[in-house]
Amino acid sequence: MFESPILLATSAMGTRFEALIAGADEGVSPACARAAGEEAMALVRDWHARLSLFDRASVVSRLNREAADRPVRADDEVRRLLRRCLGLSRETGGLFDITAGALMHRWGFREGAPAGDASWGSELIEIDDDAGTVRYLRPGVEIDLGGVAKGAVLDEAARLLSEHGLTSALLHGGTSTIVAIGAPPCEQSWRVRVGDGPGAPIVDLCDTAMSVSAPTGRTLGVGEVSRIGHIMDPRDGRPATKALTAACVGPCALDTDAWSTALAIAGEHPAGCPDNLTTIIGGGDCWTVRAAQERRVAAPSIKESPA
Amino acid sequence: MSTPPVDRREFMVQAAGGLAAAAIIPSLAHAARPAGLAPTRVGVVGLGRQGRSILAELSVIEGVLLAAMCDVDERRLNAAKRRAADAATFSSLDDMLKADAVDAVVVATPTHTHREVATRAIESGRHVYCEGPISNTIEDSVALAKAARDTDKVVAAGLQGRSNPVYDLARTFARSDSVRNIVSMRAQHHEKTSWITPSNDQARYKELNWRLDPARSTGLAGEWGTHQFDVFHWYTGRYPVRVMGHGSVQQHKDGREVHDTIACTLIFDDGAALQYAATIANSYEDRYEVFYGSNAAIKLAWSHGWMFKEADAPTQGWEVYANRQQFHQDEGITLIAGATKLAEQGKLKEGVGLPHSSLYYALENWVDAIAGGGEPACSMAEGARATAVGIAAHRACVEGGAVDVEMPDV
Repeated sequence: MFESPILLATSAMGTRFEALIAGADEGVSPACARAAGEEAMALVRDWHARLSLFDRASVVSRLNREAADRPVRADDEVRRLLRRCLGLSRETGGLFDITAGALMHRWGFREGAPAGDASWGSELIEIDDDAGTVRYLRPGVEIDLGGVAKGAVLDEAARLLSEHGLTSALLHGGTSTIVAIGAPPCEQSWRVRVGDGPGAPIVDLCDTAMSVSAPTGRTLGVGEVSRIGHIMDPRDGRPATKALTAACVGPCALDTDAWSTALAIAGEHPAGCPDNLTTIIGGGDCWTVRAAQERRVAAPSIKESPA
Repeated sequence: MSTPPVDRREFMVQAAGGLAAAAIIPSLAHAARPAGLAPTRVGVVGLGRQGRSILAELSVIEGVLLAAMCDVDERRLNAAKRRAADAATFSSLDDMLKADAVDAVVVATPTHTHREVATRAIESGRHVYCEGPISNTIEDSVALAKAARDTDKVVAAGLQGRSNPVYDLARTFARSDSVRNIVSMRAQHHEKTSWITPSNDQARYKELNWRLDPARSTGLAGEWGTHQFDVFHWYTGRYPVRVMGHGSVQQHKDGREVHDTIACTLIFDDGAALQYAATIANSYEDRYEVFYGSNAAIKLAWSHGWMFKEADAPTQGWEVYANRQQFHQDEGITLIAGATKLAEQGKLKEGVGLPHSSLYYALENWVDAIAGGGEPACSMAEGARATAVGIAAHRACVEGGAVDVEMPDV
């Protein structure tokens, strides 16, 4: 335990990432813990540079520019991430889909338009591990890893901190994706409130991740529809409207990111959701919680918010 | 600063007029990769942050097979393995070289070990890319430049400015009437960090934190400044002869002796001055280089470049179509590689910023030179000169006075 917690922050992925470091194995000095935190924040910036839609030099930008014309080389980490995303698309029954980026153009959330007619569907992405390449099978495909990038990088950052002997830390990206390492000194868990309002549930996190999605998180006026959410339903190509706030708790932030998106679109606990994930959905005073059934990992406990 | 005589290529640029000419001149004069050539098998030695960035870039360069990785640190090897799963891993340089797994070696180890690692790789008959600064002493720099001269392999210094397409384009402007007489220069590198590499093992901690060891470190001026000083050498064709410096520990008062904040003035042989500042206590404006000319200033920032014209500078036709960006009261013309083609397609704005990182272009230039039998954009001789300037600047900051630059005869 350190005399006072160490707070580090960096700007990436259009938001603020923070790491609060409270404790480490014996022999890890506060200076070393801070340096490990700096490496974690550097790793966040590194992944931002590789995955950002808005950086011309990122792998994702290069894929969106060129992969419909020819196979484009991508390193093992990026291909592994894309392959996992395609797997999550299948597991969520298509509720989560990294190719829904084209829909963001259609609904005016993004400037410009992808080449050709907007196309989406994970089956349009081809990954060749032997050649080390990624190819889009139709013009107009555009991937957007915004739904899972924070989770993916926070998983890596948490692994790095653990490798350096840190035993108590909380990391988050824009408060919508959170990874807890251990618990605060002399506590059982990190306590995180989902949403606002007096009825918002509080989740206890210990060696777990939590992601929160809300279609109202970013909205845009379109014609007679005064406000539409930024989460697209790949099944019908329209903005999701069912959930107010959806959260998912589990062992891996990449997975909880994807499943919280699926939950926000479905508006209920989605079919196929793994038993080791806890799902929370609602708003105001009305919340539905479905706790994880499988206790292989430290499952969170959900508590009523104090009035 | 007086501008050196222009060669025929640059005369053509000036005569044709800026942007249009920049699009018809090849961005970098390195040899194209012959069709059907077997990929170059590359090994990376040193898998810290820079080493892992190198892995990611090598993975996407055409004609490269990332064949091997080497580091004495198992944690770093494992992290690198996640980025390049098929590459063979080694904890010993000798084992990697003996395994006959690589044709070329990237040296990304601590600066004071570059001479030993790069020399052994060169002597084993491999092509070498050596991260900059190429060493922490003049003696080692000279030895490396000599080893590079004596081999028929391609040995490149990892100073990225010379292979960066935006920097290459901006150089044509800087050496033309668009900028005219360069009267002064400025550069900075601001990055908020403790400069500490974490390790829970005391012996390992000392090895990893060589940058904070006064006996081995060339400080901010050497580790960061060297990369930027080389840009000024390349643009002007001149080198500093004297450096006045000052440095101090302003932020990290943890017992360290290596300064966390420095400022120095580099005086070139014609009297022009380069003001350089670096700190690890603040990140404002990151890293950039500026050339102040009598017709315009040019600002370079890795993937971006801008030209700020004086009001009385002649207007050129292409400026009507130029992409512009406002900086407080100044308007910068964005320097875009391949701008004419993009303008014709109505996509000029999409060309802002490079499609790859600066590191990618440096490594690609080296790999293409290997495949095509050409010279790398930055030779070890230029690397040795820039390193000598970085070492002199560091000494000036440590001594708090003026130091003559000991320019090696390479």
